[in-house]
Amino acid sequence: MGTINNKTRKRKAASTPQAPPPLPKLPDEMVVQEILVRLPVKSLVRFRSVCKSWRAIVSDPVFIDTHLRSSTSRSEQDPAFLITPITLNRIQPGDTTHPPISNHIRFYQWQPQGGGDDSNGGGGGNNKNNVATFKHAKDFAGEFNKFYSFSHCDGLVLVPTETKLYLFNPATRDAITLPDSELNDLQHRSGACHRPGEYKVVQAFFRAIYAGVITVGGDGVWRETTRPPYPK
Amino acid sequence: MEVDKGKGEAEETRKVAEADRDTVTLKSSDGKLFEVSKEAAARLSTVLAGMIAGGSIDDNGTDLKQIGSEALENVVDYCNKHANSIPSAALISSSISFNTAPFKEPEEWERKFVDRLSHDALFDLVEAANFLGMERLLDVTCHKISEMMKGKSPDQIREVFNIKNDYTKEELEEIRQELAWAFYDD
Repeated sequence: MGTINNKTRKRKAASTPQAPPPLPKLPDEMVVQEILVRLPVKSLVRFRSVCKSWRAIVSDPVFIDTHLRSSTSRSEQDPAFLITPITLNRIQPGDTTHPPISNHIRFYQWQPQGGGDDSNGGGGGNNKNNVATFKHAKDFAGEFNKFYSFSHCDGLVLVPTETKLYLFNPATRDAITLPDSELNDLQHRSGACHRPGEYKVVQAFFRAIYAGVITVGGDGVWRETTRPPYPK
Repeated sequence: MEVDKGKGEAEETRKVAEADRDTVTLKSSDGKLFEVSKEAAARLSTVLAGMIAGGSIDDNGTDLKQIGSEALENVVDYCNKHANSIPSAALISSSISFNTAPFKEPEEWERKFVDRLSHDALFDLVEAANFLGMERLLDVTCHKISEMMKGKSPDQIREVFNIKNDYTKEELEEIRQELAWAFYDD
């Protein structure tokens, strides 16, 4: 769904012969794109259900990239923060079934300047300066005991834990668990980088000179980077 | 104007004759004629700029078969209003293409200009702006329409855009459950 699974969706669409049916009357598809690209993410998610061609427009990597850049340029004038509280579980002495850190990961958006009706961060139109709006939450019920530093890119948030790597898109409320890495000795210094429509997660390893790379929505395989020449 | 530069000597004489007029006449699909400032038309519409530069402007009314008289009247009105307003730096820099442009907020008079339009007139105008390559007018009209769409349900949107729902009941229900959170107010 949305940004995260874009790649797979695109591939599937290409393999089926029937294209989305054209709009009955007007408006022209270019015009529809021009209009939709100005809407907040939340509206776009909702308007996927208008018709199939709209869903195709909204899921198109080029459209997503354009939307991202236009909302980024806007949020530079009116920046917002994404807040993730880290909470501890209340554990009774002797309880070994609950992890000490809450596995319920939550995201809130806070716009210090209030954000008018044009808020593009995903529909928080009535933000007051002192209120953070809820964006997304997911409970991983006991899957991990600790997490490492989050990293983020274009609104995607990477949450590394000692067992799994999770990737969130709080604006579209998507979350995926990345495939386990077969490469050993994880050091979890992970980052997300990007070229239009494609995101990769990179992991550096303890005492290693190569990194593991996976493409989001790709074939689900971690690849090692080429090892640089090593002095003997 | 920029558009007149770099043309061959041969065209120069004809150009001079044309340049004597500072308006161009446009003809709508239903045959009505409208006069518009040549300078504003060339500045605001890439298509009209191309036609003016290429000499394909007809003094008896340049045919714009795709545009109805009501929409063309609004286009001309917009151009003439624009010609009278001092173009700010923001307006000039906003006339970049869809893929690169950060959108500039409409100015007060532009807001008023689209606010007074009926629903159908607005949609016809957006099509005309797209056809004529009028980035700024497209920006202003799309902004207005996107404002109207916020907080609307998919049903209301289908009605406004005259779109047929091509999902099956089951598919729709599936999407709705999956995306229930997005169906509350924006």
